[in-house]
Amino acid sequence: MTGPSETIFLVDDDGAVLRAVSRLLRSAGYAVRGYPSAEEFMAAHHADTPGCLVVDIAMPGSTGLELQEWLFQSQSSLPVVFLTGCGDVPTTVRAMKGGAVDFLTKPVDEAELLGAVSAALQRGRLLRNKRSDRARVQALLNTLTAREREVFDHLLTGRLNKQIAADLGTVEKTIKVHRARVLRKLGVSSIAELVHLAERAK
Amino acid sequence: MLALMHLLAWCQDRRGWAHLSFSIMVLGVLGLAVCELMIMRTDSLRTAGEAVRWGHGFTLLITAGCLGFVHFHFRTGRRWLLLLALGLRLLAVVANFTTGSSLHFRAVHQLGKMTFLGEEVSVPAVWEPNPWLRLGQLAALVLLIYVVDAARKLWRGGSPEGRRRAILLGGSMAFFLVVAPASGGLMAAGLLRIPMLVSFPFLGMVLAMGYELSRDVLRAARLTTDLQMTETRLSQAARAARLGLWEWNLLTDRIWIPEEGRRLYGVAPDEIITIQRFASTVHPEDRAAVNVAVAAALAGPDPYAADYRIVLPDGRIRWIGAHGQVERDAEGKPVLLRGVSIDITERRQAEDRFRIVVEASPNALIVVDEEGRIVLANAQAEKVFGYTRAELTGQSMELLVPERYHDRHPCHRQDYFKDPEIGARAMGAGRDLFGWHKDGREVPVEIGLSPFRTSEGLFVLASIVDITERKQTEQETLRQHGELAHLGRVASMSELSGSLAHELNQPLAAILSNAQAALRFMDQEPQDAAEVRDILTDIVGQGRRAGDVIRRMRGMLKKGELAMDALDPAELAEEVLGLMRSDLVARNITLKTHFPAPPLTVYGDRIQLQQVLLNLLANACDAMAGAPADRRTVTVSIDKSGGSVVLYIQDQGHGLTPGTEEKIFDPFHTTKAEGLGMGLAICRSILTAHGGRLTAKNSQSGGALFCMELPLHGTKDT
Repeated sequence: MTGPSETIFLVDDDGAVLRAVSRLLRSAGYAVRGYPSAEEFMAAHHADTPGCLVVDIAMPGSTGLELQEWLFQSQSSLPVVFLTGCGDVPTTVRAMKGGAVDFLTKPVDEAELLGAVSAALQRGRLLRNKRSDRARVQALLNTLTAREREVFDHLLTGRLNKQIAADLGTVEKTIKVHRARVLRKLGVSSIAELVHLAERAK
Repeated sequence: MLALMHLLAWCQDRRGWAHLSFSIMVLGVLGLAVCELMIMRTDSLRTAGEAVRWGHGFTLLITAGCLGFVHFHFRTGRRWLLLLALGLRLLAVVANFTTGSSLHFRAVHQLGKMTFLGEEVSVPAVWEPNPWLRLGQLAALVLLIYVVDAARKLWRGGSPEGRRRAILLGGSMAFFLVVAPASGGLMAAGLLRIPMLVSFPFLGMVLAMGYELSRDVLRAARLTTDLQMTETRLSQAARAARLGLWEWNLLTDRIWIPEEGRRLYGVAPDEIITIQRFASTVHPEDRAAVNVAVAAALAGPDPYAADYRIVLPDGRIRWIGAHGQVERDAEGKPVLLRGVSIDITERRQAEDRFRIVVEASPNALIVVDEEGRIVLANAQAEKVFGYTRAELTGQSMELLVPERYHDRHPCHRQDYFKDPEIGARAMGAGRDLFGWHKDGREVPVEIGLSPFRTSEGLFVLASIVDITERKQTEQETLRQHGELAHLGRVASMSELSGSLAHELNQPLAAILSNAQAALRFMDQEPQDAAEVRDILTDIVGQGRRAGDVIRRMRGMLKKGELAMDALDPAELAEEVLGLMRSDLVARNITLKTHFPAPPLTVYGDRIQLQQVLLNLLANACDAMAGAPADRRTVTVSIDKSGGSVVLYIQDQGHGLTPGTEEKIFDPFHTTKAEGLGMGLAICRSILTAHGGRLTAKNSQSGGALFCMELPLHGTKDT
């Protein structure tokens, strides 16, 4: 279920809670790394590390919400599970809007926690897959020449070869050649497939 | 002449028996001399015989006079010797007149002539001696023995005057008493041929006795002068001192009282005063007391002393202080009461005023002498301590001191009398004082001491105020204060409820996760016992942590009695900060603490002081609600300043509005929408009750600075 390199990052200013939750996660077979403050976590974190983050909200220094913001800013794909003592409605809303996987309140039951963590890891994996797929598509797209790229963009809008030629100020034949080369380069056989690929690149 | 003079002297003073005796003796000697002269001048046998016979008659007078003189002048003669001598001489005189011609001669047969001092005188020449002469000689001997014995006793009596008398009179009398009969005897025996001149030695005696009596007369005169002078001095002194001298003769019931005394009692100078008249001057209310005093003095053995009022003829009242001494006769019966009276009206009025002031005093007043005995107590003292004045007077003042102080109090008291200045400062300084009521109750009191010195020594006037009611009021105030403080705590705690819930939640969360982790670890193979042990250790720790939170919470919510203890202010602050930690985190407030390395100690109630800290910290947090994140810092520091410990709570908020540094402590002064405005007022009253102060000002770095000042109790570990 978990990848070998996935790590659960745990941030809580309360040492006792940090130890207890990290034990629970370890007992479930996860690799856990705990930090007593957001700052320490930020200093050690790499954006593409696989895993998820379980974080307290109220902490001296940067809060859990600020950490979530920081992850977004640093384009980390790390999914976030909040684990807090008192979750008021505005905080919860803000956390969920920020893309949190779950918002748990202490004391947390193991099933809830493990469920949330599992979901977060799943999301992480998906995100990572999606991201590598996009990177692959981007790499394919990068193989296109500028002219081919123009043709590609026009093809996506569903225009006919003749219309594209008129737009680009060339002849239909030339467009056909470009079109064939684009399809080939991108490894698709139909415009429908091309559109799908383009979607994956977003 | 001499005889006549002394006879007159005796007539003047009937007790001067010596003078009478002397007169008799002089008469006797005179008679004898006349008889002897007759013998010398006559040529007739018959006349000579008669003269000798009568001469012997006169010796009776001489003997009687001599005996009387010695008896009354020496006062040491033996009575039986006196009577014996007198009796023998009486017998001799009887024999003189009954046997023969005289005691000397049974019969004179012939007169002879002889030359004596150039004159021819007759002397009996041939005679027949009378054997009864021996009786006369025996009488003379007994007389001599009597005189010598009396002189000897007088000599032994020891006084210089007595010795002089014994030698001069006793000696001369003895000499002449030997010479006279001896010459008579020798002549009678025919061994001495001289005229019959027995009167001459007696004349010597007369001279000696006369000299002695004149001395007495002179001395008496001098004594009279002295007495008069003394009397003058005394009466002048009496007048000057306004002393009324008096003497009551019980036998005649006459009171002798000179001018000054009469003025004192308001009686006429010539009025005869009896005890009845005296009693009529005494104030009716005091008559019985005076009667008792007089009766007591007459019964003895103490002298007469009485203070009483008299009513003067014009109706004025005068206080008299009288003292006297009873004189008694040989059987101890009182015959005379002699003494003085003095006007003590002013003193009594001063005493009355003093008594009125003392009685009217709203405080209990007690005067104590140097031995710690109560010499005076007023009505209020009776009320405070429940004893009557009679029960208090003369008692040790420790009677009024609770038993638990009995071992120390006498020492305190002695120290005080040694140096009242220092003692007065130490009296109950900083301590609660208690009196001891008769029924065993302890009465809270306040005592002021004023020492005063009189001729009778050092005394201390203790002014005692029963402060039972004040104490009760204080207790009530304290109770209400406690109620208010409790309400304040409840309010603070409710404000903190979120933080408190969090503080309880954290350990619960840790316990739950730990326990679930442990269960999982135990299901796994191989079991990691070390891991499980760590988990359980953590669970125990977290359980305790939750318990601590509950305990502190309950402490703050409890409505308890004050419990004064030695406390470490740093520990107090840590505990409060522990309760507030989550709140500080949630508000994104940074906490800084500066606590001194060797812990300081203050004395106070843990809960109330923590309440103050909680309040001040909560205020500090509220003050920074709108502050930028980097300024959200609360600094708690503890420092020593002189004899005080100061806890500073400093925030970085909006600070105090200038001019409100004191107003913020007024009840119902609030800047918060939901505040009651009692928090700081309660805080200040708590500090005041702890002997400290609570002040506020704006700090230099912006924000408010609250200073909790408490008296330093001492440093720990020292």
